[in-house]
Amino acid sequence: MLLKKFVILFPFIVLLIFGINACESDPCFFPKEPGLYLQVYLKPDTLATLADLDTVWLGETNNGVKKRYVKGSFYLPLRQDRDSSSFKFLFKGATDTVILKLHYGRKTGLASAECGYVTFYENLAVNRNTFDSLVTVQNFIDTSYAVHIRTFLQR
Amino acid sequence: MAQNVSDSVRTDGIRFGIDVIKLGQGISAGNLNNGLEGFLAWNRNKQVYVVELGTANINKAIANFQESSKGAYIRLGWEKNMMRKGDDQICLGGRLGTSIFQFQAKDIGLTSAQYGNYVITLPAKNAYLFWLEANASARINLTSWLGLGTTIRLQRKIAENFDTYYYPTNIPGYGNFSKTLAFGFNYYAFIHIPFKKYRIPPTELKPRGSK
Repeated sequence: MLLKKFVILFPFIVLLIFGINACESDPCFFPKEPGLYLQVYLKPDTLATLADLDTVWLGETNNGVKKRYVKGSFYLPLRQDRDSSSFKFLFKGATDTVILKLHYGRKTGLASAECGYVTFYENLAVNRNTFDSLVTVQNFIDTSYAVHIRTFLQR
Repeated sequence: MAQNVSDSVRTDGIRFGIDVIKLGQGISAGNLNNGLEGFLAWNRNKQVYVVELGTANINKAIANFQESSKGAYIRLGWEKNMMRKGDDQICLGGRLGTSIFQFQAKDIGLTSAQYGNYVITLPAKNAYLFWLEANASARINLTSWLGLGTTIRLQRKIAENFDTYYYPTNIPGYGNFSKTLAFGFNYYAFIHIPFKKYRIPPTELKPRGSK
């Protein structure tokens, strides 16, 4: 008799539990716009901060990029509709702008069910660079905050 | 006290039925193509052999995209009936499941504060998934030929052919792919066709622990 009651009532119990859980949605912990993380050393041992950077321009449009400094590096958003992006930097105390042009492959992929699809970048290559020196640390850009390019600039 | 005769018999037979929750969802949506599931179980003494078949056509808005998954699935398994007498069953067992389906991510909204937003659709992809399940089932007869049953399943995926960055979140017959261990359940209405009825030996009916 107990078994009969359990089986008859089972869908109502489960739907009640699932109904309550369905109201909760998991948060997204990944950045929804993966981009390049650039470290700039103004002297061999001095990491540039937001205070050192005057302006970042998108190379082709001359629109300013909102400056973001994330975990010791500058965040640069990459074009999701083209295989290249350009940036011009103006550092305080410097007269010349520094140019960085990048080339990459794009891949639209699922970051997670909570975050949805984002653009990943692979085979990152530097086409043009007027920093004094540059090292590509990682040529794949995903949703992590890893540094991709490390640059050095004498002032 | 004399043993009730109907309680001291066991029946070999088949049960076949349909998932009434999926059927109800299809009727309420006005489209039975959204998915149906049925089962066939053959029991011989305490051994129960189960086949579950289903179709699904899932269209769901998730985060910044619309996902569609369409396909069919099958689960094959075995259970042991833990009830000592009567036609009602409480079973424990396992299944091997496979789903063959096509999925597609549509209307993906990629956002960029600097460059503007883009909407793209990725191509449809054929895929499969194999998984193993541990099951607990309960089936009761409301009449001699009609009954209700439920199955609770704990699933673990074992093989699939998805890309690292392009995979479905909802899989027909399995559910949420992002979970390594997934729970699921079914609720069936079934028809019971007994083949053979036989009296249970008195030794089997003795209370557990008695000599």
